[in-house]
Amino acid sequence: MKPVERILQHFSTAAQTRELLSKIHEERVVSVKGTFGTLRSVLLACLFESQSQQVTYFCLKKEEAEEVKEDLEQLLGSDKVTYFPESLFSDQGFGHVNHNVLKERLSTLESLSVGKRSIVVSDASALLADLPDPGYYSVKKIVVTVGESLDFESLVVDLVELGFVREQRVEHHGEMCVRGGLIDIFPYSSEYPYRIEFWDDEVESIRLFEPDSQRSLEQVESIAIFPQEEDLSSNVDGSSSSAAGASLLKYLPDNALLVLDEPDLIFKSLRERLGESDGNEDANEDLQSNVLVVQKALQGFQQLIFVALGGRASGTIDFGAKAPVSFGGKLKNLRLALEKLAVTGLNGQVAPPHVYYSCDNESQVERLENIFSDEEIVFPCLNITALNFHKGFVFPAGNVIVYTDHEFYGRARRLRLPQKRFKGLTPRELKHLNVGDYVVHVDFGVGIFRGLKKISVHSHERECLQIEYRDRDTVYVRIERMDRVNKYSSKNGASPNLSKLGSLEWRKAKDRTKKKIKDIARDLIRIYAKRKSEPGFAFSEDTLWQRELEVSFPFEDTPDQMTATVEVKKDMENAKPMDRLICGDVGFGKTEVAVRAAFKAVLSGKQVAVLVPTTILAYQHFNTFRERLANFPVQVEMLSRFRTKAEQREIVGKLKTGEVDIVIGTHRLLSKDIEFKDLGLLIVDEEHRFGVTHKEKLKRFRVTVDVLTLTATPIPRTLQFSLLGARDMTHITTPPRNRLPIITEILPFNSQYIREVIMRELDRGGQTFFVHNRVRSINRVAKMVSELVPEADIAVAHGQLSEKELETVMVEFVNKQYQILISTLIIESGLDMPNVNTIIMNRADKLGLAQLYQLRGRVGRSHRRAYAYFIIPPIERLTEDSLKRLRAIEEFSEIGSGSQLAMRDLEIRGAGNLLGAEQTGFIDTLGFDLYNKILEEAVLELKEEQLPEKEQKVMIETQVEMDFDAFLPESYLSSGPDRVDIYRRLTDTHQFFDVDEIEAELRDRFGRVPQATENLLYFVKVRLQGVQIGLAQISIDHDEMVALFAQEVLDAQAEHFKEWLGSMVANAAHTFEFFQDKQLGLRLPIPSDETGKVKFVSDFLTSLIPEGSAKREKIKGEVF
Amino acid sequence: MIAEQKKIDQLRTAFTSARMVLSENQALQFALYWQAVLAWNSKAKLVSKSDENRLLERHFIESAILSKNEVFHPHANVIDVGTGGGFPGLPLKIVRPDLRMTLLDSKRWKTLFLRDLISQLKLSDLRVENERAEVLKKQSEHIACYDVVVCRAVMQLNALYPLVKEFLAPTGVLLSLKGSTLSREIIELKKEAPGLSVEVTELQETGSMVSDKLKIVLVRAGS
Repeated sequence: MKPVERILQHFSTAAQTRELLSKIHEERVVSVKGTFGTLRSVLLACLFESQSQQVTYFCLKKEEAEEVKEDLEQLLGSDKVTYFPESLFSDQGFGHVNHNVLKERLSTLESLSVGKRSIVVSDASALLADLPDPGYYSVKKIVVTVGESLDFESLVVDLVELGFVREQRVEHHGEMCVRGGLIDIFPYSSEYPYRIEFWDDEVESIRLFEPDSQRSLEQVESIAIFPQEEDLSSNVDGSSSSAAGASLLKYLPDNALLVLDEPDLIFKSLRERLGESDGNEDANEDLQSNVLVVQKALQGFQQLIFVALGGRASGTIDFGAKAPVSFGGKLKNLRLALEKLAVTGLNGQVAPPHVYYSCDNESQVERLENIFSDEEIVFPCLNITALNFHKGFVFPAGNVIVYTDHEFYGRARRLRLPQKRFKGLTPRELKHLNVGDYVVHVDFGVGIFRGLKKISVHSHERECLQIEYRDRDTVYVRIERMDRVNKYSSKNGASPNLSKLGSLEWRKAKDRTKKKIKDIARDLIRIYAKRKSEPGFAFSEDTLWQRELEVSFPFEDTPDQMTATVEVKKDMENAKPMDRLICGDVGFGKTEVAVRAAFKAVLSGKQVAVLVPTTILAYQHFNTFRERLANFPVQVEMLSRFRTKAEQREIVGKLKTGEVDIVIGTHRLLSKDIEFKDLGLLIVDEEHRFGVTHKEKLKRFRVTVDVLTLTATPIPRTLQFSLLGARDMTHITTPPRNRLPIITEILPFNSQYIREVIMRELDRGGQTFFVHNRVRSINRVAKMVSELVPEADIAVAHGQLSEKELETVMVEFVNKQYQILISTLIIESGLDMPNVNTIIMNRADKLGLAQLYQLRGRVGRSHRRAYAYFIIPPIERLTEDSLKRLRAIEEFSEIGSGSQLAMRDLEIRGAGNLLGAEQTGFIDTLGFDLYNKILEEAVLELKEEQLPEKEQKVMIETQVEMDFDAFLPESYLSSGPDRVDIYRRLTDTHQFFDVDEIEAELRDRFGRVPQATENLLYFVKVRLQGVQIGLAQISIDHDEMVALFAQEVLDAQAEHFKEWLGSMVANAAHTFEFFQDKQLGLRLPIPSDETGKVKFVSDFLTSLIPEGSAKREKIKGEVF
Repeated sequence: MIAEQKKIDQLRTAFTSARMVLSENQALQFALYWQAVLAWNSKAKLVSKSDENRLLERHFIESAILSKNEVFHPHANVIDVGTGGGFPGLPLKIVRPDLRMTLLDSKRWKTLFLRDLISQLKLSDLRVENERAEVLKKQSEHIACYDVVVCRAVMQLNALYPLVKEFLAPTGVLLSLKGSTLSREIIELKKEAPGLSVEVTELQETGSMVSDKLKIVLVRAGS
């Protein structure tokens, strides 16, 4: 039996449970008290399992409901639990749609309207929810079944009516997309989107697909599609919305069992809620009576009521459960409690109680089991299990106790939010070329992409990229040459100068840059080699203390954080000196990784230096380290201006004697008087903010001690390969759980509204940033704000303050001495200010995308809801350019392409930070993609230079000439960017398998492949084969194929070519021929009809190559 | 940390019955030490679990009593090899603040504990080294400069002496506390290092607090 089943069983043996189960059949209202923590959920689960009714649970608050829902999911399995969270529309009025909430609500309504039996969990707000009539869902639903005849066009119309939004590509809930005979839709209630394929008017297949890759997953027979909105006004035909509203109760069957958790509190909150939402006296009376209406509606159902201890009439069943005693994170206390229980039992019971210890996950279970066995803690009926219960309980009547890990350690319990990945654009999509984008061609330079153009070669159609250069000169690039074209992207999306065709300008710039890049590459290789040869210190493996520190982290590790910790520790245990960069947004948990690394170093007998760019940051880190290590005898000190000269002297002395284990400081740490007894680890935060001299000093450390660098500026992953080995990188990209998206609004200046948003923040004890990027007028703005919000204390910060003044202002703000900080763009990026959750940006139209993105990121770093407001002048006064930018900002409210582009900007900056400032200039010249490509190649080349000559590869390129159509017709694939993407991927393929994959994808996403496209696929394959065999040229003309071998492979170096030649001649001797200039080649008669000829050629080439012989060589076009 | 009066009283009584007198400050230091060991034992494994209840007899008194031995002349330079939770070096240092004491242990967490504790006890001329004896004895500042090497480890004499002899000044002496298997160990040691002088004494004037099986062994170069 599984632990949850056993817990349910213990529960059901209690006398109270039996009493409850019999009473529930007899009495209309049953009340219960003395349920504590998760026992409440256990009771619900037991009730649900032993009854046949629908069970619906209401409690006061959303948080409680979420906890009960999670408990129940573990007790009953998630398919038996539905959740109806409070809609975000009602209390925020910001028109922001939270997709997770909508998904839960719609799924629940759907499930109820089809009569599926489940336990519904909700909070008080659901009793007031203004929902469409239950009939609405069943009437409007559309069922689609395989094999059925349906009119394609009218289905599309119907789906749009249900609320699906038509998009180019379906990636999010509520979207649909129509192409040819395919409809993709993504209903809110589904985990994955569906693809419905038609063959004429018949539904040929329905399959689920993966939204990121757009590839099919599995087939289904039939789907029911429900309305995607619960917005009444847009759906209920004609009738006025106010009267039509139904609460959740209307969706329940008459015999449903309602469970009300503290009904008195629920009704009180409903009354307040309604009172608040309308100040009008008369309406108020009306609404008050609405609560009566709700109460009356509730009376129509059978009820189970949870009351607080001591409440209600005599018939109340008392379960007598209690909270477990607190252990304060001490094993000793747990041991004592268990020892006592083993002897005395629970409340006079003879047998020792069944004790369940619930951990969040399997690894916790394992860890705990180890600790228990290390500590020799034994107890007869102790179960350590991976259950994430929200609150433990002691239930004497069932002789059972549940302890939870998070309570034991006194940590915040975390909610398991549905982990919807709002994945932005993939790198592939970022490379998407749109008409009008800047591109850079290796040979010709920077131009503008003007779209795909069909041009005829020998009267046969092919598609080409059209690129426009200065003075409107044009270059057409054939698709097999597409790898020479990259999208141009640079910092801040600055517009580059177009190159002039036929001038030397581009070539010179390119050569100059390549030389510089090679220098960098050489540097990287050198550092790599040095690191490889330098002996370092191997830190010892994790001890019990290390584990104890790690579990005392009050939050759950995000997956990335876990990986980062593991990687850093592995580096440290290795004798090679570590040089790892951890890249992740502020608040994503970099510091925790640093704390753990530092602790590990200290436990191995080493000292640790943590170097940060500013005094305040040092102060913050110092506090974090102190706090996290408070339970261990580790000496943490700080060296910065915040310490007096005398204190500094003392700390410096203690560093030398080894009395201080961890020192956190500014560049003061790099002064001459600092000497360590035994430094083992250097942690550098935001390295790029140190000056050149400081960086030089840092290099001194680099070779001997382990170095961990932290940065909040994103570094492009693409650089990772180039840097491989020189410096290792870890990305922390998963935000901590419970992080809510920032609500973003763009609005014209409105002083009353600004007061409101600031007051809302003040009311919850929070702080506000007000960004105004003009020093000249900042005091005027400050005055205005202080008049608007006289309640608040206001500080002003700008770049004309001295460093010390600025520091003071920031420290005081961090210490909450002010509620509003009016500031220019200088708000420090690394500071952690979880209490600041509203940011207002004045004249947002004057700021760049990346700036806006970064500023907005200063808030929303805690579990609190954060708000960002972009203040703009009235629309009609904006320039064309600002309007364009604002449109991009609008996308900010969703994590969409806007932020992805801003990220890209930041990444380019990050690359500059990492490789040196002068690199930014080169990136501007070449565009980032080309720059990176060259860097990657330079590193490869330099690595290969160190290889013996024999192993160097001969690279050839095959030209294919042909006399048939080979392209993606617009009628087949209408989206230009998608076509470019497919072309690009085809040119990037290295083996047959990749081509087959793309073909399968085309069939899956767009339907049957037309002839011209099939030809295109074979054309790519023939080109691959050409490279493999060593052909420089293949020409397919009418009824003949002629191919020439490349001179390079005929030269003696190409060893395995010689081996092959023999078998090739043996396989097809009749085709071998010497052409002019004694060039060896092949001549083959082929069928002249267009449909089969290219396949014929491909099959022939396959037959030439001895089977299983080839290690497939990569096609690799030289860039220069 | 604040010392508990109950512990201070217990300490006073026990030391008196072992014929030692604690000053107010010393009693306070022992009480803090006692509390710290109890608080940290599960984390730092300072003494065995069963000894937690016998700290006073098994560790404090047994260590402090050694101070009466004449090898600890005023201001003697002492190193405690394998000190663990600070025994016997730290109790010795508390009752004889004049001694110059080095506590050595290779377990990092034990030395971290000791360092933290010492900073509360406010003792000078006392340092903690986290190193293996094999390594530390090769460092110039530790070679041949100790008047006494103390060790309570269970290591056999014939293994212990070679390990620590480099610490000893020419007139230095190794002091070890031993139980029953003593005579065989001495024979082994003498067989391997014939020039040594070995002297065995009972623990003096212990009262009833200390196991009477324990003996003090002093080992020094030639006689």
